[in-house]
This record gives sequence, C-alpha cells and structure tokens, in this order.
Amino acid sequence: MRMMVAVLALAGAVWGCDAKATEAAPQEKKAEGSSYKATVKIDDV
Amino acid sequence: MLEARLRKLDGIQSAKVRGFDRESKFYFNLEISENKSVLPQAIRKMLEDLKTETKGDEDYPYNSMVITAITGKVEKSGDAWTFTARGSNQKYDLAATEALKKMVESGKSLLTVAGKVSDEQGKLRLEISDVKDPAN
Repeated sequence: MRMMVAVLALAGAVWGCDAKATEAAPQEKKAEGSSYKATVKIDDV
Repeated sequence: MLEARLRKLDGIQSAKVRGFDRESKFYFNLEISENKSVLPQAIRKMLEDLKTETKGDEDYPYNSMVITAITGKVEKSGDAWTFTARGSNQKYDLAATEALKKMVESGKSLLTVAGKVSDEQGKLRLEISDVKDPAN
C-alpha cells in the first residue's frame, strides 16, 4: 500500500512538472517591424 | 533632460543619447512605434515648449532628423516618387536613388529605407541614403 502511494505521488509530481513546463513555454516573440528607428540631432547653444 | 522629453512624445518607445563625447552628445537614437510617425515638427515643438517652460534657460535648436530604418511601400506616379510607411500610413515625397529605382523596377515595392527627413515649406521629404528588401 505504502509503495502504491509512493508511486502515485511520484507520477503526480512528474505530471505537475510537465504542466509547469507547458505553462512556462516561451512567450510569442514580439512581431518584428513593430517599430522604426531614427536619429535626431539637437544642437546646444 | 532631452531624452526624457523625447520619450514623452507620442509614438516614441525609446530615446537614448548616442554618447557623451563632444560630438555624440547631440545625437539621440529613437525607436518609434510603427503605427505612429514622429516628424521634425513634433521635435521642434517639444524644444520650443522646453525653452518657454524654462524661461530660455534650456535652449536647444533642432538640427536634423534621419530615419535609419523604416519599412513601407514605394510608388511612382509620373516623375514623382512617394513612400508610404507601413503601420502609420505616413506619406513622404521621395528623392529616389538609382538603387531604389532598380528595386522597384524589379517588382519590389515593399522596401526598408533610410534617409534624411525634411519638411521645408510644409513638404515632407525623405532623401534616400539606403534601401533594402525587408525580407533580407
């Protein structure tokens, strides 16, 4: 009985880790080209 | 001070001074949302407001603006070339280069370009200095 509980607990832990790994999947990369670049020159007096 | 003011302008995601040496300190690298357009007029107004608020203590004249990479559609109508920015749909008159003309003639109209922006006499103009296929 004790052995069976241990096996079930281990299976649960593995399943939990798997679920967490799925949740932690990398977020979708921000769409490229969502911004553009410029340089502005501002003088000093 | 100027970085913070630039960041407040609508559409600017980031503004960083290029460096702190004698020459670099006058240049600010901007990252601008593609669905907005930040034009020289907006920069000049920000500088005028800053001067007014500080009673003339903070007086920084606008010098120039260069777009280093923007993607959009290039079109030719008669002898006139226009660039319509992707996202914002901001239109610029183009001073087209041979490289740009060749790319359009080869069938490419969505291009990533770089160039100086001017708005003399209310005409927004982009003087192309570089052009490339956005897929590359």
